[in-house]
Amino acid sequence: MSETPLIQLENVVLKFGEKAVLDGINLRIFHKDRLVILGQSGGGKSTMLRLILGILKPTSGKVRYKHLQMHKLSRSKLNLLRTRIGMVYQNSALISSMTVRENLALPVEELGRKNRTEIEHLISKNLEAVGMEGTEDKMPSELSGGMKKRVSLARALMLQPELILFDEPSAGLDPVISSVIDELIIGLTERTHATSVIVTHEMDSAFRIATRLAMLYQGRIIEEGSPENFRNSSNSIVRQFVTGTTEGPMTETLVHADL
Amino acid sequence: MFNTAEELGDNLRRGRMPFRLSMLFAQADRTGVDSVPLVSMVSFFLGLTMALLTGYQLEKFGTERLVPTLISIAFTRELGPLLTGIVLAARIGAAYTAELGTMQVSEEIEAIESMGIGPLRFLVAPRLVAISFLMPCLSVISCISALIGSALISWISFSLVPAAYFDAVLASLIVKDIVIGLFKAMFFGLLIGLIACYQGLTVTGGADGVGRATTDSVVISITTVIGFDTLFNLIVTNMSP
Ligand SMILES: Nc1ncnc2c1ncn2[C@@H]1O[C@H](COP(=O)(O)OP(=O)(O)OP(=O)(O)O)[C@@H](O)[C@H]1O
Ligand SMILES: [Mg+2]
Repeated sequence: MSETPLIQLENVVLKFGEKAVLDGINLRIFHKDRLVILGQSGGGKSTMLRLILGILKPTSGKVRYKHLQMHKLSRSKLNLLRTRIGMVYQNSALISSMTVRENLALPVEELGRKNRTEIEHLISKNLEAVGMEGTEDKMPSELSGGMKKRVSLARALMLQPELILFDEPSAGLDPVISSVIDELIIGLTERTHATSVIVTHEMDSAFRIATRLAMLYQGRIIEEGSPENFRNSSNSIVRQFVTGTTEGPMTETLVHADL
Repeated sequence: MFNTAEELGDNLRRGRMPFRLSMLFAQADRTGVDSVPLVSMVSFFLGLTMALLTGYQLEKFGTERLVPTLISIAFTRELGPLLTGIVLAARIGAAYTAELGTMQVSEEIEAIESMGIGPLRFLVAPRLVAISFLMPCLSVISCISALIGSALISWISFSLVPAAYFDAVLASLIVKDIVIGLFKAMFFGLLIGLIACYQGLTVTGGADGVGRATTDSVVISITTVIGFDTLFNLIVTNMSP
């Protein structure tokens, strides 16, 4: 692996107050990876994505984007860098006072490099890519959760990002829609040659999407590798998570935590 | 706060409008036009009541002719901006805070930031510009409504005909008072806008956080406006009574 990684987390520690949510993360994300991050609820997965976007700064350690160190960039450089990253939020985070069209147009208009017709064209192209054509004039409140996720994905595609981050893209959706979303993620990242990082709890979609997996547990990456590696992992925590059984080291620590 | 200042500099350097025009018009419409009924109603009745109360006192000395002078000076210089400020703090400041706060807790602000767009140009600046330019306009409306209210009561209770009333008003208005009044109104608008946006963008928690921030925003805005008004009056009257 001599290739330089797109994103590199080196010994990243992040504390909220006294509590270390991330406690020494080392992770490299390479070009064209579809890296799935697994982990318990409240384990710091969303926090990790925020670090990659530079919205949170690590308490210690480094987050690199190619050769750039995220937390040393000036604000304008960071903003420029963020235009190359698309993020699909856990709760979609569409701007509720704007129509779907305005939501999609926003990032492109603000960057100010394209004219009206080009933007219109891009909007319909991206809405079509996620199967949401014809919803341009709807408000986000008129859409269902799955539709919002797809619009949010279309918005993330507007700036043709080289890295797309997905925070639980299929949480709370029915199995059919969530497979549709999985297919979209695979199809779009392949077509646009984008790299993607996907946070999820759903093992089925994880194995369907991933080219690589990483498991976050108690603030550290305890296992990382190909889907094959993961299925046959010898780590008992990973095995418990993959199979979803209630007996194992994970539930034991939960019980102890309760006491 | 530093970030926003930096972002402003950034936009100016890149030769862009520091705010989005379409957003400004939307905000101006809401802040300005929609506030006219409330501002004029409150001012009308306050003007009316003031004229009535002072008129009865002044009548004892046979000087009820001074009512128009009193009302016009009081409103152009003092009560117009102050009253408009209080009304807008409750009506618009609260709305700004609640909107931005809701956007903050629903991660909309973060999503905007993650697209490489700062919230300043897009969300904060249009609101600040709208409220600080519309405050003076509304303050003028407030003064006019108060004068109409007091003219009405002077006519009914003290048989001062409106023509004479407004002659007296025109005679007592001086440019300095008007300018001071307008300047104050603009400054109050800016204060209310800044406080409201700041409260909104720094909301933490959920719906309760938004509620708390909105209450804080109104309380702090009104207190600050009254505080600055007092300070302002002390300075101005000491410099040139
Ligand atoms: N702004 C914050 N301030 C304080 N604590 C926070 C903050 N954001 C997150 N946390 C804490 O950090 C931990 C990790 O949160 P995070 O949202 O990253 O979890 P997650 O892995 O994404 O969980 P889920 O799968 O439920 O979305 C949680 O315990 C949370 O309480
Ligand atoms: Mg999360």
